[in-house]
Amino acid sequence: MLAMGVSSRCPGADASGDPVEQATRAYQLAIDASNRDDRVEQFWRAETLFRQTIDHQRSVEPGQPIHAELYVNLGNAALGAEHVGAAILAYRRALISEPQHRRAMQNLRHARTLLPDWVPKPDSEAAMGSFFDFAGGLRSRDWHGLAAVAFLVAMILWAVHLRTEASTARHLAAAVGIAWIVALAMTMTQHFRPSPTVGVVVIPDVIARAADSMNAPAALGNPLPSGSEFQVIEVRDSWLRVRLFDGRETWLPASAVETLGKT
Amino acid sequence: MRSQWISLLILVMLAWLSMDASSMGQTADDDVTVQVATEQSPYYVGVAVTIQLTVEGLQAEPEPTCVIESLPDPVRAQLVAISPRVVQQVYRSGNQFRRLEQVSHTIQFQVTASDPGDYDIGPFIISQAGVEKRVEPIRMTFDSVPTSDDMRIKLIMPTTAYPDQRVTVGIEWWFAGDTDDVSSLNIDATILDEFRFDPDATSRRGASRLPIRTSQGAIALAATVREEVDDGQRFTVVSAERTLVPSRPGTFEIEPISATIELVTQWQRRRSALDDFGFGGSLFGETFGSRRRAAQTSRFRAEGEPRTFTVKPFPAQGKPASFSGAVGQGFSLNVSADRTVVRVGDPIRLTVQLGGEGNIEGASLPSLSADGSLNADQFRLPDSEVAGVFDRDQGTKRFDVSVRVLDETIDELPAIAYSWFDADEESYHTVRSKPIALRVMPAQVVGSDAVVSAARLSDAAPSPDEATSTAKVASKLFTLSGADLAIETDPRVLLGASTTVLANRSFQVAGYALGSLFVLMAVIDRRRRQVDPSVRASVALMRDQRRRISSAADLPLKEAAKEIADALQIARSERPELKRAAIEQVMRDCESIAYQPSDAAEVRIEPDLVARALAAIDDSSLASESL
Repeated sequence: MLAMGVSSRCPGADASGDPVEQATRAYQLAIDASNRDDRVEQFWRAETLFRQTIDHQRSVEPGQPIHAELYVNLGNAALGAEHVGAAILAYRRALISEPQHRRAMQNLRHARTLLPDWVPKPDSEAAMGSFFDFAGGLRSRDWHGLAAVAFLVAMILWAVHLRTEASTARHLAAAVGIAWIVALAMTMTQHFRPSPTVGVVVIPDVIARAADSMNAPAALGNPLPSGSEFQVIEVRDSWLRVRLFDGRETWLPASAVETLGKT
Repeated sequence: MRSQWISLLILVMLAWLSMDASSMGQTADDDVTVQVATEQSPYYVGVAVTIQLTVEGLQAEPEPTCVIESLPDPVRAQLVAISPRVVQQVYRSGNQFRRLEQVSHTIQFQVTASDPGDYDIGPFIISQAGVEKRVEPIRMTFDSVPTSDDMRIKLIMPTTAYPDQRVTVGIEWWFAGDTDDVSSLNIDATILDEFRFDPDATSRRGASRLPIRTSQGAIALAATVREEVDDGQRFTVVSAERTLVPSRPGTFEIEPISATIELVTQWQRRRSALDDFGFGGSLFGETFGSRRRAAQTSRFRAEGEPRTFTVKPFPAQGKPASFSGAVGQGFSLNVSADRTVVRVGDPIRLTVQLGGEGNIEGASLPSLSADGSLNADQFRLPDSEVAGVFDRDQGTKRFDVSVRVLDETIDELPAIAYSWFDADEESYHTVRSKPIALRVMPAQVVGSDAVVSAARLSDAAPSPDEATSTAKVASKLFTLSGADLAIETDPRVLLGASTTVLANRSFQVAGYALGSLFVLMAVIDRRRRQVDPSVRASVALMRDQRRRISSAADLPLKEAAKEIADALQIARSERPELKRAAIEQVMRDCESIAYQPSDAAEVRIEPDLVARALAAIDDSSLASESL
């Protein structure tokens, strides 16, 4: 019933044309709308279309990462549709793809302010600190690229040394070679760094339980609103044992959350 | 009438009591004692002398003041410090403990005379909370100091400047002699105290320094030392710089800078107790200090030129409206907005980053509407001056300004102008930031349907999954203010790969492959170059002979035999180490074929002979070929 409702109320889904263009058009209509209900509906339509685009891209090219801008568009549409959880999830995915994306950082910060004050949030300084850090801002595959460049430069310099016996070229080759080793070490560091899997609640008002059972008593005084972020400690069947950002541990149904993988 | 008299009497008594009360806790002038002390004479022109007044009998607070009522013209005096000293004693008197407090203040002046003579310094007037103590003048005799051609002092600075301009003032001390003989150097440049200076650069430990006496006391400026030859004399020149910041226009007469040195003209050898032992004295002397002591010293003085320094006002002609007092060069202005999609009335926070060479720290932001920047009809601009934050590390100043859009028709935040004055070119320059594209929507009108409870707000949303969120019930009002809702609309970007060139796997593989290829080629090239050219030529020659022998199979019989014999002959002469017997056997066979009478053109040489010929030169040349 819910799926039918979605498809019947989302004309963009069955309309002809490029989904990206349809989503963009719906987004512009939402921005231009003066009536709140119209605006929220158009944002919701844009959100659905952006999500369909992402799903389609994943199915067509499973190995290719989604562009950060597409995630930001999805997040903005979700935020306009007042889906804070979906927005936070999209912004965080955008930041995984492009750790220093300015709008994703700004809007993620704003989306977190929309959550109730009691909801534990990641320490903004700690969360954002790495974005400004050059080393933290580069992804593992970027470090691989830097290592390849360093290797190429080092080898060219070494070849120049072999051809000309120039000691300067040899010293430079050694220095760049060290840079190559450092870049490789950074890829290893990022690969083996123990970082927890993080997740976001995407269903409104999820009751956090004291154990992995629907009949277990509630662990928190209030249900967790959509958009609450947490770290995954353990996965057990259809339940996740999570740690909130104030240190409290609780159980959440896996169907109510989405995880981002290692950050 | 009687009551009036009583009232008057009470009034007089109250007045007397209040006067008496106000005098309680204060000190009478007679209770204040002052001791005056000066440095031991003689005193010299250009050398500051400290006068210390020790005042007893005043209260600990407030801090007293001290002025010199009368001072002769050639004498300058500078109040250096007023420091209180409080001593408390507790003693027992009968069954009671009593506390005794003694307060004294130390007041220090530094006086400098520019001409020799006898001068009365004072009287000194010390005041504290209505108590005034007058100290009689003291007489001081300043002796002249002879000048010397071996020493010069120079003040190097421009004659004109503009307010807030960074003016480099150089001080150079020239000395034509052994600087080890200079036991003290006193540079008097207190006249520069009427200007403000940037903080002086700190000198490295062990680096040269030039001592300058200022109102803040003696400071040691980081200095450089060089050698100069002038009029046939070799001078050691110690130079230092300060950065002067004039604050107001005007013409200032700067008295000559002066330097006075105490020069050792005769040294005496300090006698060490260890000298008697005949050893060790030198070592200890070197370890614990110089073994030389001055036996006789002389003072010399040098004086610079008087100077006139003019601080000119900024020219009124051509002064841009966006000029707010910045002086320097190469100013830049970067403006960023926290969001670019707004409604009319929404605030936009602008971050204005100012950089450049000049008075960035004290720079202020001009009106944002100046020089065609933001239109005040389209933007609500801040009324008051915006305070900035100076980043000393980056040398930039950041201003955070909030503006509101008033006009729905505007589509960009116009460039903001900032003007500065280039003191070298004596002209104004204006830099503008880049305009920022804006999307402005009509103001959101809050109707009665929007003013509902949070529960209804949730219900009104068409979202199927978050419609009944109780979190919203407890949360604040949902707002998009603070988010940047601009999106990327280009499908090529959105659907393109999210990888940079660096992250591209093909790029990485190409990098490693190319690098390896370069080194491989270089190694091969190096090995080739390391081979003896004669060996290389020999290998090439042998290769040619083999080719001749192989191709001889296609020639007519006699011609082939001659070709093979000729090739073997060359190979044997090139490589004497080849198996001579085998080669000669093949050559004999070839010659017998070559000189046989029959001559059939279609007959070819036997492959076995070709193979034997090749084997004869292959056996021993194998190792050489690998080269």
